[in-house]
Amino acid sequence: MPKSITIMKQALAKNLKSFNFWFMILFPLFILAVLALIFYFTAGDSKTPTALVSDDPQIAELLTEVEGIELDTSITSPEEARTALENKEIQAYFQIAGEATDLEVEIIHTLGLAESLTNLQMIQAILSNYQMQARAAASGIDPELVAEMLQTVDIQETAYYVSDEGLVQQGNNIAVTSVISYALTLIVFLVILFYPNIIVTDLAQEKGTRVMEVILSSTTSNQHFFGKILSILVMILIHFLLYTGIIALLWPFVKGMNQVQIVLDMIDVEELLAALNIYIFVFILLGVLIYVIMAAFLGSVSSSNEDAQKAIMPLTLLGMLGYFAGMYGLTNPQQPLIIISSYIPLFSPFIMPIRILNETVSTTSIWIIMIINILFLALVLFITLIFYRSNLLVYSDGNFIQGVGRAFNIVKSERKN
Amino acid sequence: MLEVKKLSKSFGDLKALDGVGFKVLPGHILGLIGPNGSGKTTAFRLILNLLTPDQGEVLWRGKSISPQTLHTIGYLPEERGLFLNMTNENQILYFAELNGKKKKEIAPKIPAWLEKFDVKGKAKDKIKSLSKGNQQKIQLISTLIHEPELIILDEPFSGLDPVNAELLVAGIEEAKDRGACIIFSSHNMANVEDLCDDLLMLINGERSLYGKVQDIRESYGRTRVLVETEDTLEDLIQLEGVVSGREQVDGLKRLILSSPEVGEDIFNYVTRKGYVQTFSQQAPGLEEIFKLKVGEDHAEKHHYYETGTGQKS
Repeated sequence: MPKSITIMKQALAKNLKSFNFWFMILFPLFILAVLALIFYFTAGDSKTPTALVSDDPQIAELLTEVEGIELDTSITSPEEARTALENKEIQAYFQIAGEATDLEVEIIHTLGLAESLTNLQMIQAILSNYQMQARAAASGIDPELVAEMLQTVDIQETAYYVSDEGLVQQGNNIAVTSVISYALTLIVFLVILFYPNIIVTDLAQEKGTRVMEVILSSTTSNQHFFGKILSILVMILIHFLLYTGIIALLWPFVKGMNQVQIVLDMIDVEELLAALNIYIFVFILLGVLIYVIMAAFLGSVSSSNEDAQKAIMPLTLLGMLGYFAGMYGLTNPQQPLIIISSYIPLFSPFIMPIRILNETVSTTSIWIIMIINILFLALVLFITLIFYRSNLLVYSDGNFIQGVGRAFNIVKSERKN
Repeated sequence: MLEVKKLSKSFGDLKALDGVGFKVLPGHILGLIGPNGSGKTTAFRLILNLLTPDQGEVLWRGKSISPQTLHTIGYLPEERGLFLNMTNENQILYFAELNGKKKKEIAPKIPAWLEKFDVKGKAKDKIKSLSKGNQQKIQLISTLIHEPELIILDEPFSGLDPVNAELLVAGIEEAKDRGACIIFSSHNMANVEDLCDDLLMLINGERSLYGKVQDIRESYGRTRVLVETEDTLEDLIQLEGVVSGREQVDGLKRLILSSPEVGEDIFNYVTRKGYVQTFSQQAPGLEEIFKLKVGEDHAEKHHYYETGTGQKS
């Protein structure tokens, strides 16, 4: 078995048992669970029925079709409705009197209607149409003609972005794009926040406890390096598979929930999947590799956990900057700042998925940025491999820069031979 | 056989090793001694291929050490390198795997090795639950269990009590008997003297002494006398050919002679009244040679057992 694989397995076994890994897995789930509970309880109010007191059965039929309202038609008199309101059995009731041609509508509700009955305008429009049709019929106007007259104008939306090749039509649904963009930026941020931290700590601990010297007496520094990088990539894969498994397990219970249905109605899952393309994943993979390799370099210089945390700080800040740039890019994908930032390898994994999803970047630009990222990755890998062996032998009580300086002296001494 | 030829290594202006050469034959133990900063660790790192020499070469079985031959080496670093949260078993298995062994080959041997080194702990115990001495034994088992043919031990006795040091000696001698080449560094000259066939002393990166331990000692001449006598130290120091002397806490007098020939005169003097229980004329011990080489200042700081020094006026 290649020694890189042995190192990868050991690192994996150690890290999969660590508190940090499970915190990283469970913390987002905990936050989601808390949000779901809050959503469930607050959204639960809207399930309280609204009563309708009207002699006209057609009105009840019309209002039953309005989404978000659970209409209680069993209440027939204002007195019953008032008692039900008092007993919190209903949240509001419509009291509709008069002829169809001259409706007298009143809504009686308890405080908090604004949150629970958000579609009052739609109800008003439905009742207005109903009254208008009744008035037209009374005036002898053909109801079909009235229906045609009342037909709303359909607005077709076509979005363009300005590229080097002129105006290019944006194809993806904006809601879908926003959802995926936000999710991807967040995922990249979490991966870049946690995994470089794991490798930097791992290496600093091995150096600090002098285990590194024993390992390097049995294998090469390159095999050690690739073993560690591989372990991080496998952990990311396990992370992804765990979440996929958890979603698959919970899906049968979750998909029936009203709120989830509302979200699903807003987006088209097929369209959502179609919007994801291979370029996006390549940029994310390149970005993760760049950050993890840079973290390995920083970890190899550190001699203790404290050193490691100090060393990783600038990289974490760069990641945060990339994340905020990505967030800004969500609403402003064509801003020059965003376009320029997408060419910077440390920011590309945050911004490029957004630009690709919004279709605000040409294929030529995608390839140029990808080549820049690949070259940068190769450079980072090259420098790290040169320094890695020397860094691992340097135990500096001084600061990070002094440690790199001493490692540089060893590298110089090694390379002249 | 390990053959080190004219090895030199510098870090900037610092010459860490300067043209050092030596050999270790199969079934032989080489003791590497020298003051702190003399180049011992650099020598080990060069042998282990962790550093590239400026000049010279390291030949293991006639070839340069490569990633393919690393599994034939066992290395015990000066500072213990263990995964404290790992179990004893997993720690040993991990290093054995890195040295090219299969788990199923090594796992059955672990209980016997734990017993051989009298480790106070079970295979499934975590390293951190063991005492420092027992942790050191786990490290040593990890170094030896894959039966390396070249064994490098950096200060293997530090932190071990005399009983555990004996277990370690037994482990080293077992490896020697099966034909391994062994190098170990130590500041304890008694261990070096007892165990080593050959000795290499480094000072400031240069080879200061090299050869068979006994030959090195004899090269200084039998100028040390240990005698049990009622004569006072002052009387003995006044004798012709006695350079200096010390009285040990056990009452024995240790004399330094100007030449081995003086020994007979001293013997005749102390036995003039009859029988003496102790009279031993020896070459200087390694500790004394070490102190002589490193410097008198250093030597004075290490008079552990000796009291009452005297110098001829």
